[in-house]
Amino acid sequence: MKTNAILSARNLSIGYKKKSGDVVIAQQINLELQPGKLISLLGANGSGKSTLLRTLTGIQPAIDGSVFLNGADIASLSARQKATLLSLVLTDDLPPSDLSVFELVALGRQPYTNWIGTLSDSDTSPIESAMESVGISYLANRKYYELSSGQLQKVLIARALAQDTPLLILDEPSTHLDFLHRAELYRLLKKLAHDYHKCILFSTHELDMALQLSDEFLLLTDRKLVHGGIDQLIENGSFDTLFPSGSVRFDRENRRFYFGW
Amino acid sequence: MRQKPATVLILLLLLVAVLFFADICLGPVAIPFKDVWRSLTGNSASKETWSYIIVNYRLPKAIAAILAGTGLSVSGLLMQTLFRNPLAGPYVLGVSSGSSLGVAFIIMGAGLFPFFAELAGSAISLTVASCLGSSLVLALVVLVSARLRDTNAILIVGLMFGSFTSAIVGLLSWFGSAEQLQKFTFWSMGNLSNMSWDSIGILSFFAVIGLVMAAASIKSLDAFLLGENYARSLGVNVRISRLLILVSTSILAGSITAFAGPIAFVGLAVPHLARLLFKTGQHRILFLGTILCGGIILLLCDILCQLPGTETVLPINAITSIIGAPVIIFLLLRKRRSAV
Repeated sequence: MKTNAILSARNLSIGYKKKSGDVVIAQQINLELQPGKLISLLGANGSGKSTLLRTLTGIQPAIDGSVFLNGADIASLSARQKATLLSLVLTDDLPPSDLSVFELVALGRQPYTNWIGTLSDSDTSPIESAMESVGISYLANRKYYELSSGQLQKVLIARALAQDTPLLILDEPSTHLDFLHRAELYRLLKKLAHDYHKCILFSTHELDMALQLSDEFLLLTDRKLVHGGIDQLIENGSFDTLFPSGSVRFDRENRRFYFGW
Repeated sequence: MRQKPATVLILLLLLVAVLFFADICLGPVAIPFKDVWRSLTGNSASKETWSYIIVNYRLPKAIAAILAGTGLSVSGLLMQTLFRNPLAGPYVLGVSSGSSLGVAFIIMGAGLFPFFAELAGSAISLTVASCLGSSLVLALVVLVSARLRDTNAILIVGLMFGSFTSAIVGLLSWFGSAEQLQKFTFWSMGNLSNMSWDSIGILSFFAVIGLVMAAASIKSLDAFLLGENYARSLGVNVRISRLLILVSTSILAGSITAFAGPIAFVGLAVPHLARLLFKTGQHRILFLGTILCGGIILLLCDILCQLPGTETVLPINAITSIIGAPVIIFLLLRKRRSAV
């Protein structure tokens, strides 16, 4: 691939392979995501956002086409190589353990540590700066299970930052957060994308905030994926058809969604 | 705020040494301290029988206690992390029952399969059968746990495998001779004594292999604390790591059960003791802590077995269960999101 895209997809079809035949959720996906951008993935429930993210991160195989991380086909990368390019914040519940916040964030250094996971000096400084930029340094010695969901979400983001990857993908990071914490979270993501020149892709149902803060959008609707900036997507009417049912309509003037009655 | 883990580890190591020595000093036959020391250092004690008891009976027994305590505890630690369940352990998940099944086939299966009669005497075949039995049950638990989202369901599955295997063992004993039955019953009570130096050699061999594999899994175990998807995103080859962990647990639980019988609750309780002491999730500390705590607990149990001051020796399984069962109830009552 020619460009400096960190994540790209060519002729990608996503869905599930079944014995009775493939269930295709979306096809003919072509995209190129650049560093330094905050990109939100929007779509109705069941439109396939999670499947897309799982395919882009290599958790789930593509039905057709390829995903490229930093120009290399994701299928040809080892788990360790992938771990230095892409970090994740998932919706998975953490299993019970006695990890402290510092230990949890430190796990982000695993791709760089020795066979037993000892932290060297070159590991502690990214851990500390990750905790600082997310604003959780004061929690370092707390156990992760003592935290509120807003704090835990920040810890998980700090862990991903400590992994020091050019691409960060978050699956619905604002679920379970109240309005204030959602706002803080999005501001943080925006800051990280711009200050650290990372490519940050996240899925969300938080339309208003996503529209205000994201640099680019991926819209998943009707088995197709549309990629663009806000003006371009308003222009070509993509937002109007994001929710087809009619109970939600997009107001081009105010650049936001309203109830459709 | 907390002591350095290294300090605590050294203290534990000292405690192991003290208990190891105490275990050798105590027993149904009272032997003066200085004669114990002389026997251990290669000189002869005041009585010939005392030297014999120390060198060929109590010393191997104490070593067996350390090996069994260490191995079972480490296998418990691995299972708790791998199955994301603080109540997992070789006994609870039915892995020890699987070993029993393997051993039962070898000891009592001769009536049904004459071929086994030749194997019955050999310690190696007993160990291999036991390891096969434990890995069979572990494989089944893994298969079932992959289909169930509820991590507590595997405990019930383990219980079911336990009763299933004991039913088969029951059938085998129906066909077995009285002598075979007695041998098996004695084995199933758990017994660290009667271990020859040969048995100790074989047991150490398997235990070291299992522990080395466990040590090689330390980094991936840390990653598994975040769940499999995160572990994969951190560069862990989930399939290979999981296999390594499972083989390690099977070898540890299987070989120890073959020699010492099914010892309950140690594998479940000791990792929690280590977590309480070190207050960490990092496996490189918990691994060492669990090894030392496991040795300490089983040495203690073995000392209690001998009912100091009397000539009675109790089966070790009775002691570990008396201590272990309340510990589990305690853990259930204070169960939170944490692992303890």
